[in-house]
Amino acid sequence: MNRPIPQPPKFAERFLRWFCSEDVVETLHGDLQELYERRLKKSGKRIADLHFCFEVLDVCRPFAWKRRTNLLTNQRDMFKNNLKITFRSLWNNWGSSLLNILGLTLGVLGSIIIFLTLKYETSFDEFHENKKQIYRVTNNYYYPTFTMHVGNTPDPMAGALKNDFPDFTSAFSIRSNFGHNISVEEEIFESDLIYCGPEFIQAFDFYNDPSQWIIGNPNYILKEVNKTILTESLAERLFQSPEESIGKTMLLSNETLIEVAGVMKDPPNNTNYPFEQLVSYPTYARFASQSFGGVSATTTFVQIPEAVDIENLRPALNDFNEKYMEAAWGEDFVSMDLQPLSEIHFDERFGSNNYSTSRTYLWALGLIGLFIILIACINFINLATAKTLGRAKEIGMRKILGSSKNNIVFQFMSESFILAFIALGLGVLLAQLSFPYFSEITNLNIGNDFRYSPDLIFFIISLLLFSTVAMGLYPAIMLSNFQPLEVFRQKKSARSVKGITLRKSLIVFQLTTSQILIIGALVISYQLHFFQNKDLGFEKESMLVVNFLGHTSLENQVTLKNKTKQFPFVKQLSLSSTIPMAGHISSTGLESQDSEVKERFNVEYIYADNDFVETMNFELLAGKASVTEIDMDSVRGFVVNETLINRLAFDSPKEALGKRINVHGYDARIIGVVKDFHTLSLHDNIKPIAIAYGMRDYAGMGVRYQTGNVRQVIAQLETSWKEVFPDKNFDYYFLDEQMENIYENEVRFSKIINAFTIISIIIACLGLIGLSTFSSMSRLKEIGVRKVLGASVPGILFLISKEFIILTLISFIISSPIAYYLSSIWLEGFAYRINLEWWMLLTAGIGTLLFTLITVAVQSTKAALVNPVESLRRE
Amino acid sequence: MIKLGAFEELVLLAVGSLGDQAYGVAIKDLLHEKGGKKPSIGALHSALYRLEDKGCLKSWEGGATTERGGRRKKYYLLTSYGKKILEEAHQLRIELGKNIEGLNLGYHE
Repeated sequence: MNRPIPQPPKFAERFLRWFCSEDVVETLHGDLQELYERRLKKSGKRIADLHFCFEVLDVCRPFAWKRRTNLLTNQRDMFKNNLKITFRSLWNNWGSSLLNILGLTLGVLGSIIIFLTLKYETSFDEFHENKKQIYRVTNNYYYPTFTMHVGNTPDPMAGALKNDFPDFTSAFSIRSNFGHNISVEEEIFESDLIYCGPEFIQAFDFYNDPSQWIIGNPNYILKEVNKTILTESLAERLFQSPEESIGKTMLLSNETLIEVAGVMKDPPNNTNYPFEQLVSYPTYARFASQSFGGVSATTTFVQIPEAVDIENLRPALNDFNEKYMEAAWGEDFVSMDLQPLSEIHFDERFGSNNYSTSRTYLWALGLIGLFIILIACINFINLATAKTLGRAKEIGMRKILGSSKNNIVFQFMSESFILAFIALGLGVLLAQLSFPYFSEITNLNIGNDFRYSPDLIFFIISLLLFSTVAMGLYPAIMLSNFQPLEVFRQKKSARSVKGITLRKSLIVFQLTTSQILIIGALVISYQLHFFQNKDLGFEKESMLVVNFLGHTSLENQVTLKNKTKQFPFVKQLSLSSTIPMAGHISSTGLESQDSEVKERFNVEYIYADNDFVETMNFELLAGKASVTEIDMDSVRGFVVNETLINRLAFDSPKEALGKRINVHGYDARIIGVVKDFHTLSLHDNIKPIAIAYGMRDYAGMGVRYQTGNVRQVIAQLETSWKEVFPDKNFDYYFLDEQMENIYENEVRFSKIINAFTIISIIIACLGLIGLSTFSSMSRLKEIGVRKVLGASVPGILFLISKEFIILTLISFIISSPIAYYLSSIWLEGFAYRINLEWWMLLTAGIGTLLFTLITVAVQSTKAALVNPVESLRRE
Repeated sequence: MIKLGAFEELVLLAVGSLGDQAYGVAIKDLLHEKGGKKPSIGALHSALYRLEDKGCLKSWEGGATTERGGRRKKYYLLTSYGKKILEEAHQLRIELGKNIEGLNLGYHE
């Protein structure tokens, strides 16, 4: 049988033939073939093939390469020439080059900052190894008018889950306290602490990495009562060094003495559960409620084995919900769900210990970044196509001398590449310099995170390529299509029509983008303004709140109140369990026999003394807000809000007076009705509220003071506090300051939008400057003739500006509905919101028109003022 | 005097000693056999082309055969210039080496 002789791999041969020059390939291939045949006999086909491939790569050396001697030198020269021409043309039009580079630099700056922001926002809790297995238990409570989403669970949740789902790797609760008061040797500090057991450390794999730990073993520490683990930075803040801190004690909220037993490295910023200090869970568990019927500040997590599909768990979860939650809350009233860890940062409904960001907002930010870089590229396209006339002859000449279309495309692309390169360098530098400020004003905490990480470098390179192509492609193709003959026959007008429409639509795009951003920025800042100035139903100014930390006796509280009352600066003061808009407010169930509405529903409730309504400046609609009898164990009367009256279907506040309601197990009559006031942020509707009188369980004292010397107010309050509570620390805050924190996210968003609006306006202006300069300069002769024939300077100004005015109007027509739509979506997230007014749209429109006109006018005035003699002298 | 690398010198010597049978694979084999070195085929050809450019070697192409897929061999021959270069290189070694005590380069004067 005649078997075919094995041959070397075809692809290697083809490669050899591809790179080898004609005169080398014959002998080289021959030699390789000879070696191949020899090896074939000796070691078989596979080894021989392999060697052949290596040898082909080995002979791929300069001596063997195809020598395109002629072409090669020419290309090198052409490249040099292109480079020279590029710099020359950038230099000759330095004005427009500067505008382009500036615009693009700003665009790059904006998009890099947005990139880093997005990167940070999407990195939350991504560093946990088990992140895919960890879920948070969430609850939804279905009220007739609204659904309450709660990321926290009743205290016994974790235990019950552990019991009913033995398959789970772990189920555990943590309880977090932000800005908790701790005192070390009489000095008060604030610490963000989490009560947790060792399961938290294990599931979130803080312990898997030994470098996370400096001292101590959390597996033991967190099981014991009254032990704490500090993060390195807190240990340094409180006790100078981690080693020093071990064995030291501190007071938690002035009552629980806990001992430092371990120190760990600081956890990363980008977690939904940041902490400075871990306190062993048993420290809290002693006080934990045993009932499923309350909402607490406990968050429950489960870790599910990889093999378990969450969807298959649903039936069991529903059963669990029925067994525990619905039993406590009522059928169909509450549901339970497991939320993946990766979702926590993006779900504003359930919140987290850090701030949350909605995905929509991130998309919006990403789009803004894209648009900013696009409008910067548009500047280049516009100027490049506008300048075609100037360069038409150059291109014509090149073509006549034998340039191919590709050569010319290459030339212009390299021009845009060099421009993009310069701008990118500047932009990256600026971004690096300005990033700390950006992160500071937006409260992102990532000021030191500007690192040239691989993905940032990848992003920068993509940005370079993207902007090169986006800027250069159209002008390059358009210019390379010039017919030399036409160029030299001076038929330029016919050709540029297309260019003009394109330029105009691009300007419209730029202006539209800017206007949408302006409208967005306006709407957001007005909504914020509305937030900060809305009538909350009470007075937030000149209100100082004294915190009763931990257990303070009622007697002392009253003594303090009486002492403070003597001070001349105190207008009113009252003791209460909560101050509206200052954080947590308790909620509980309400039932009423005296109303047609028989079912139980949720109300917020407050314990307060007789001065509360007056101190807060609530408006009393009916009845009174005081009781004569004071009792330790029962409520003597309720003051309720209008919402509660409506909920109970009473016709008027007067009618509600004297009706019995049962709140939190206490039965009493309604003694007064106050106008609705806000207790939480304006994202949410006002809920029914019952203020309980008679029973006394206070957490703070609100002091309405006479505006004036605030420092003196604090000093005197502190003295009287020390007299009453010599061993406890004085803790206070101002209500209006406290309330600033509520709209942190909106304030952040507003600042970011404002920054990018300004950037986009500047970029668009730069483009307009360039284009209007060009358009007025190219019309110098026309202007000259018009002036000779008697046109006035304002008339000429109008002539040039008219075009831009029309473009602004068109972009206004396009942007208004888009911005209107987007803003109304954003506003829907707020229960209390501003109405979108036509004047907001109009302000943006007029604003854009103004800045367009000013930009254009400056340039065209120059042209309009030129003496016709100058412009018409030479032909 | 032109610069001559150590490997180039070996290649020149090998070409010279192979007479009119000096082509790529043969040179490679000889170097392997005598010197125990295994020059890569790419390095070898690259050196050959370099030496030809310098004028130390000249070449001609052999006729087509049935071996090697019918591809021609390229034979190399040492030129007189090449010989002169080799001599110079060798001379240099001797010059430098003769002052080293106990080093025997095989030439005694």
